[in-house]
Amino acid sequence: MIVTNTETVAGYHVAEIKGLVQGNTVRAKHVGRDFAASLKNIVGGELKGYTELLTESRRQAVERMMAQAQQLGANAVVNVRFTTSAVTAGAAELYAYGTAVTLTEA
Amino acid sequence: MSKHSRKDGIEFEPHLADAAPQLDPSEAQAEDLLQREWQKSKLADHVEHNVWEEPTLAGELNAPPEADQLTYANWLTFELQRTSREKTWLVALLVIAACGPLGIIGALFGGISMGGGGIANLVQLLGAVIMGPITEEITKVLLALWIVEKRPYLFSSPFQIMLCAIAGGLAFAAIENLIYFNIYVPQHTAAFELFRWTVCVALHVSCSTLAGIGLSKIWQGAIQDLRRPRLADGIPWFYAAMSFHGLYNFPVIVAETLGWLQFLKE
Repeated sequence: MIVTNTETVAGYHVAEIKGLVQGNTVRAKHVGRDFAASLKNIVGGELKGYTELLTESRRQAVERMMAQAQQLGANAVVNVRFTTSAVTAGAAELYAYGTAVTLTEA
Repeated sequence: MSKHSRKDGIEFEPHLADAAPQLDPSEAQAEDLLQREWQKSKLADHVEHNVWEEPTLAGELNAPPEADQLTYANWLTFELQRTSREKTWLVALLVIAACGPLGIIGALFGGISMGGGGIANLVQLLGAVIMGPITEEITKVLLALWIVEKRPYLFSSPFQIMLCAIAGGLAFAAIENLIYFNIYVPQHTAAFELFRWTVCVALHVSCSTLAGIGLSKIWQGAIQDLRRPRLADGIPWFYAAMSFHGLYNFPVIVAETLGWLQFLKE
């Protein structure tokens, strides 16, 4: 499935718009990783636990968005955007959305 | 003459430098973790994210979902078919059994709405008349509410829901009484015990029955129309239970504070 943040895809044209698709997630690390990150925060450097957290959240949100597109029978999601929210402290909250379309070769 | 070192130059920015960019190792870890979570996930998890119940134009732009699509209605039908009546009774009994431990939490969080010493200020009065009833009425039906909202197929009749709600009220009242007798008002009279085992038990059971009617309304709407449970269907009944409880607490607490009700031993 083509997933892009542009409205159009070179070499293809949009044959059909299927509708808005979206995926969201709110994820947290366990208390041990939170504690380790707080210690690392003192000395600086990459907080790997939280990097992982964001990566997991981004991937899960995108997967869920793609699953919705698949349910609609789309073969691409265009104009994809990401946004975050603040539901709870210490969690990564990601929301991905885009327009599910059917692309055909131009 | 510039004092900048050689590495300050724009040519050393990651997107212009010659060095191969480093991949993020957390990508592979995330893939493994999400894969494991996916394997453990259930249909109930997936139906939460299906596109067909979204309030977008997807339903209008596309043909109706095919029969094998994961829609809420299809999921609920599937689960209703594979859940035996015996299993629903087992769940109801487990909910009833859990009412006791939940009652302890509820009674402790509910606070001293009917403490032996009366109410000292307006904040305490508001706590006893508003916050106490809200907390207690929610706690009494919490588990049944979760099932109705998340797994409605685990109940097979409104009767089971009513039983759970009434048991919640009874368990809560009994535990609250024991807490009062042993912690809040250890120097109480026999009249206090009689009062709590009759009036207070009747109050708690009546209120949780009202909340149970609300739960049943939510459940019936979901099962009959094969749609997501709507909390709004039961909200008036929950409000009624909380209001009834608060309306009872107010005069009793005022009477107790003014000394019209005497429950402490002389």
